[in-house]
Amino acid sequence: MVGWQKGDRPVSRSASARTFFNPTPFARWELVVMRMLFALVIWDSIPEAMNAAGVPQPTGLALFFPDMVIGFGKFFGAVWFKSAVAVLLSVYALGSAAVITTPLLLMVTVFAGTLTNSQGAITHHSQIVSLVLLAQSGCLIYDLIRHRRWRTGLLGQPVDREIHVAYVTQQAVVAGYMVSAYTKLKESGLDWFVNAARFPIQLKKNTRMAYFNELKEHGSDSSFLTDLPARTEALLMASPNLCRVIIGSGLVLEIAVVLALAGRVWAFFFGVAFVLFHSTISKIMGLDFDFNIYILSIFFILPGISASVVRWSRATTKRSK
Amino acid sequence: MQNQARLQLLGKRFLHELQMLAPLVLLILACLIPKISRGEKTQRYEFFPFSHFPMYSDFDERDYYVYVTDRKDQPIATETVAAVRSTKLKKIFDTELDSIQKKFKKRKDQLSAEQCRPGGDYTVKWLYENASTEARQLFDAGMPMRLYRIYITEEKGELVETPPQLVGEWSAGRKETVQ
Repeated sequence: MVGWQKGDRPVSRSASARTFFNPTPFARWELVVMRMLFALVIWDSIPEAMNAAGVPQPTGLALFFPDMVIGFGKFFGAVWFKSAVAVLLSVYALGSAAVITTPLLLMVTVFAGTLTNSQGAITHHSQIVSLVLLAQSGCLIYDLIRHRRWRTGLLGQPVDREIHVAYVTQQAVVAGYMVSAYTKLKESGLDWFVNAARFPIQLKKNTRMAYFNELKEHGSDSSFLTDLPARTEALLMASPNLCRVIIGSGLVLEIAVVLALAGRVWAFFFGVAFVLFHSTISKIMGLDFDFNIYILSIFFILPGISASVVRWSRATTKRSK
Repeated sequence: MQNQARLQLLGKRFLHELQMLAPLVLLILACLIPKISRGEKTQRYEFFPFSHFPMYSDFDERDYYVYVTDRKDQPIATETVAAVRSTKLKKIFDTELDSIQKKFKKRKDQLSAEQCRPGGDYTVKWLYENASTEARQLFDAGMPMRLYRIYITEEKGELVETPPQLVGEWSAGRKETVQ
């Protein structure tokens, strides 16, 4: 099993020995892989260009600094800006000066997201990326101030800090799902499960809107997916209880998701469950959960796989000896 | 004495768990607190990157979708032409309806097509004004652009669509409808 590195200090062993929620003791190579993969996700989330000329329905920072948000939006199409972001991301991926690069990347994604969401059409597509960057920035700055390791803190990236950063990353993802569960229960109470039988209306609405995007039926690119939305709609209309079980399972996962912070096995279970759920919804409704799927794969599923691979390779080596 | 020691241990563990999950608690609060945006209902809890993630928090008995057409009522593939998905157009239209419904003191689905017109006109205008030059040329060829709305509802175990309602029309150079 991957273990603690020399000099680790995430939690005192005596206190954590029998507690439920602890940071997973990732090995350095796992942290490097996660950081590099997440850098690619950040790159993917940054828009190539932003044409918005104003903020007709300002939200977030655009409420206070509308001109700054609009002005920043114009940078996204510029070559110098893309080059600067690429350099910033490369430094972030290498793990150097994370306390500087992470907040800067947060700023870039927040300006992009704020401008997009201030057009009168709120989207939560890339929100998870910014939420994760915010949690990481907070963790890094807190650690720097608390432990006053100015030299190593500013430029280096000790393993124990990276372990904490990975744990707050998982917490940011979990927070998003828990808030979503709270909103559902606050808006509809337990009636949500009863009303979930009306999901086919949403399904039809989304497939019709997907059609008008390209004037092409959603799912018609692949023979396997041909008529999948229509077949799903018919199945769910015929069996309201099946509909409640399938859609309700998503809310149950959201309610219980805090358990994903209890170690690799729990994280792996919830990661796989959410990725399956998002992928299914994405296929039948044409909705985009790419960033959720990427982040769940990197910070929840991958650690479970890597631990199994390490255990398996050690067992094989032992047997061969 | 033993009980006291146990309680102390439990207390220590609880504090440890709380300390470990402090970022989670802070993030949840940060997502739920922003009710400060001045926008209408759909905007109120949004303060990027914080959100109360309202998607599918309620399943209504009926819902609607919108699409854009040219003057001959031929649908326009908005994503292909202008890189704007119809979901985005629907959200923009819906946000406009938030303020219209306040004015008429009605639910959104009780508003007539005529009452929805300012919102629809604005949505089509927004699509045109935020499009690239190439997309605008295509739109110009089919002016006026129109926005249609179709409701979906369930009747006797089947999903039924209402006939399309004209809820917006706009052409370049035309004056906006006053709300």
